[in-house]
Amino acid sequence: MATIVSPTSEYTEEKVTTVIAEDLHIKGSLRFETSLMIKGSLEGEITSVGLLVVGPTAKINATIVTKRLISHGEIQGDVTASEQVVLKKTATQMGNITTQNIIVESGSLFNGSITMKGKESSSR
Amino acid sequence: MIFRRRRQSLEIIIGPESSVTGSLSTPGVARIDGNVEGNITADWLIVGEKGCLKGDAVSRGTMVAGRLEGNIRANESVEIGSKGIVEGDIYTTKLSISEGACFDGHSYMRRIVELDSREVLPFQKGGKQSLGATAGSDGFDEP
Repeated sequence: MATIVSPTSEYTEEKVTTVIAEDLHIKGSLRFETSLMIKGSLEGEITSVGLLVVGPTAKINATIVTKRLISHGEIQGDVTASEQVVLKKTATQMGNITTQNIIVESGSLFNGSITMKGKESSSR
Repeated sequence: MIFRRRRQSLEIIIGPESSVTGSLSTPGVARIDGNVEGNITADWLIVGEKGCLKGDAVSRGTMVAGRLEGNIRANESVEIGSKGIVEGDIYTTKLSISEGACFDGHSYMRRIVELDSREVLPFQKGGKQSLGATAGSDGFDEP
């Protein structure tokens, strides 16, 4: 699991390929491969094999399929992340999460279920 | 360490390699390092790294470093340590999951304490100061 980011590393705008600004509202489906930061609002679906960063001002109502999600904002909808989901302390998540590795910071709000696959939980 | 935070009244300790079947209830802190099958009601519940609880946990705060199979209802906070495994639903206001932890279940969270504290902490006996008698989180703070 060496590729997983440490929970303290922050993703700034310079480090991501695309930034959706705060005053941008998108309706539809989004597909990207490297990295995307959303600071505006989005309705629809997101499909990617890279990193999705949801900024603290973002409001997303979408089904998300990605490799890694770091959320500071509001997400409504189911999230499937093949690698990792990080809910930062300002994050709100309403919807189910399917992932291998999850970090939830204290202060975040999460309503939904988590399915963790690829982890042997019965080996103790 | 997060698990050393409150040690004022450690009332129940189930040591490693000990097994208990049945329900446990304490107004203080319960620490599980062994195996427990049954429900636990405590002010604070700590499941140590080698601890295993099969049953529901009702408390003000729960910290899981080991394994917990059952539902968690905690008025204030739930923390799952990096080696913690939780299989069941969580009802709380503050949830923290460390990297490496495993959680399989549903999370029901509210921003403010709306949970009925009397239902959550049924320690009201006689004239004894109840831990959960006052609505809101302020009533919980005891010296």
